[in-house]
Amino acid sequence: MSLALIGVIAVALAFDFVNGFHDAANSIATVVSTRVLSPRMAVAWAAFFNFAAFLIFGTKVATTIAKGVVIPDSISLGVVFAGLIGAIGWSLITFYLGLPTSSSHALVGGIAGAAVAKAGWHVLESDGLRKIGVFIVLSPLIGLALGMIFTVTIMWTFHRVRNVERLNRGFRTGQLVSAAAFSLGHGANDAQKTMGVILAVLIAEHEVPKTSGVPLWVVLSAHLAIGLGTLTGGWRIVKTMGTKITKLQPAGGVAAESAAAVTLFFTSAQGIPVSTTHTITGAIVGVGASRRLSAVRWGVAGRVVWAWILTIPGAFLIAAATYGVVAVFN
Amino acid sequence: MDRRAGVFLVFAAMCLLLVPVTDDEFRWVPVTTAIAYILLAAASLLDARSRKRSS
Repeated sequence: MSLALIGVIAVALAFDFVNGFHDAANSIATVVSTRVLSPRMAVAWAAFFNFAAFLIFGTKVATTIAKGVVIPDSISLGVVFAGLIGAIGWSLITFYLGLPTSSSHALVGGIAGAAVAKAGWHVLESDGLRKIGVFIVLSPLIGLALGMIFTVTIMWTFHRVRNVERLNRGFRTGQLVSAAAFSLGHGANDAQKTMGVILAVLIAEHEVPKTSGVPLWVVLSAHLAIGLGTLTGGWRIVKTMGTKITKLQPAGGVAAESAAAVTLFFTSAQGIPVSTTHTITGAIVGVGASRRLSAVRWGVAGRVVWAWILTIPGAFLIAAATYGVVAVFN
Repeated sequence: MDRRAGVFLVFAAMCLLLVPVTDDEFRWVPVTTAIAYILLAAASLLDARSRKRSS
């Protein structure tokens, strides 16, 4: 294995680490805001289930990223490096501008941009990109519908209960399970994107055959990186999705996290990379909208739509420009 | 019309617009989601009507 290959794998794992660091707030915000767990315990809880996801889910999402975005023959060390720089660069710009970014979409845009800069538009896998594009829009909409359906179901089931305090205690315990489920879904979908990038570059460098699945060491290192990212930084950036979009009670937290988890379980099992941030945002909006539309801060939801529109082209352009620079030095 | 029901109908329309560009294997997903939004819009209309009556 060459030094350059090791360097690119390290950048991919760093991307995964930052993803865990950044997205941990999504998994633990409601658990922390309802004081079910302390921030440190919540982060440890989320990190454990991020890592444990490798035991449950396959690697279909990784295969989609490795072989379904661009023609595998167009992938090289330079393409993957430029793609990762495109994704990281776009994430930093949106962080600075305060836009809710999606690292998943940025990664897809980055790899596509670098590959197009190398070999032209024909390298794009239209079937794979269409599937990803459709679910960019669908996953928050599924999360929103499920969030609302779960909330209404909970309200119907428990509307005769008089002891609200006891009911809330029950839902606080339930949040441990729903937060764990969401962290499993987050680990499964997001860690696999990094696995896909590493698999693509291993195939390009002839370290594994084209028909190879994801090697176990790649699976373990990707889950370890996202878990460590969650463990290291998550609690510092808990800006609580739960209070930014709508104020959540424990029952709402259970509904939102369960709705997002179901969406992520489905998409991960089907090999579809989606944004975990946009999925939980949709689910939280669904919980808020079950009370009334004005309970939702639509400005935040609107910024998610802007992120849909801008992320892939933004990361695409940065990655294409980066590949131009890489090609000069090659 | 109830604003919330209107929003849900817009979401249902978005899902239906995605049906032609979705792979055959997954076409049931936007269809099912659209049906869910139509049902949610109907439930929202009924909810708004019953609130109006009781106030």
